[in-house]
Amino acid sequence: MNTALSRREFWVLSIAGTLGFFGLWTLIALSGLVQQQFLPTPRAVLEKFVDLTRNPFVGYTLQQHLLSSFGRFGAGLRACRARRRAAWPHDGLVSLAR
Amino acid sequence: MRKRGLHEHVLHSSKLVLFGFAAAVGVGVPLGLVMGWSRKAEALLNPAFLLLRPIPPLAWIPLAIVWLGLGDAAKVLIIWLAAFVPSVINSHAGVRSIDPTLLEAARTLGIRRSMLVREVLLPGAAPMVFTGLRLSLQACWTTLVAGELIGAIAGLGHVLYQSSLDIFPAMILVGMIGVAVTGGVMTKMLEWVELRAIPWRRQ
Repeated sequence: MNTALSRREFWVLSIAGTLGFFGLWTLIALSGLVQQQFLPTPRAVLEKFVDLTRNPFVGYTLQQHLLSSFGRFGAGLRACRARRRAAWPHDGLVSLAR
Repeated sequence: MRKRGLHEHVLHSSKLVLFGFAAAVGVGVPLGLVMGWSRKAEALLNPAFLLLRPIPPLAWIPLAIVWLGLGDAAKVLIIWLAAFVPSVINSHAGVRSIDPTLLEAARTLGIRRSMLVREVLLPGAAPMVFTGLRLSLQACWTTLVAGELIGAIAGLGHVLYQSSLDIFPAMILVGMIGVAVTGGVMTKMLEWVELRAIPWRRQ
């Protein structure tokens, strides 16, 4: 296994990797191999991202969509915790029996 | 539309899972091994991997349909994405979990690089690699069912979807049991391969 990289080496390679990823994506999107309608550039995606925070899509902005998803996530988590509390006396009896 | 028997749906789904799984393992395991072995490769490839990793495979479904249509190719792509991540992570962890003393001992004995890979790296990483393969296979089935629920003409997911439209609970249960049994059989087959590939794990 290779030895650990210096901090500088690590950051240079990491930044090169990130730029390479987005560069390749942009290159493919702009090359005309795929229509931009099907593969937008990273910039277009970023613009759409910012746009969605201001203008709603299917009735809601990004923040509202996120809140809705977090609400469902929270409901699932609460249900799980409630189930755990309900199961607790049973769990306690089982461990006592052991 | 021609009527299909359960075995045809099972075969169709199994074929998709096998294609996606084989393609993901074929790319993911070598990539994970390289990233585990070389710190430079890890630093270079990890950012892209970290960007893609948190995206759930099911979130790719709309894009896969836009790119590849409603056919099998879109489903194979989604299965590939689902199986790719666990195989990379576990192969990477497998290499990193090798006892450094073993590597040092091998180097001290003047072992050639190719032999080091064959005799130390691969057997050392194999248990974790196989753990990754099992997780990948599980992810393949989960994703396949979701993929086949949308626009499939055959497969167990299609059986589930069609029977839900027909309000036919018995057939829904047949589909569910079909998924469980086929997934279980494939996992057993993988276990069989694992025991032959790394017999010391039996102990």
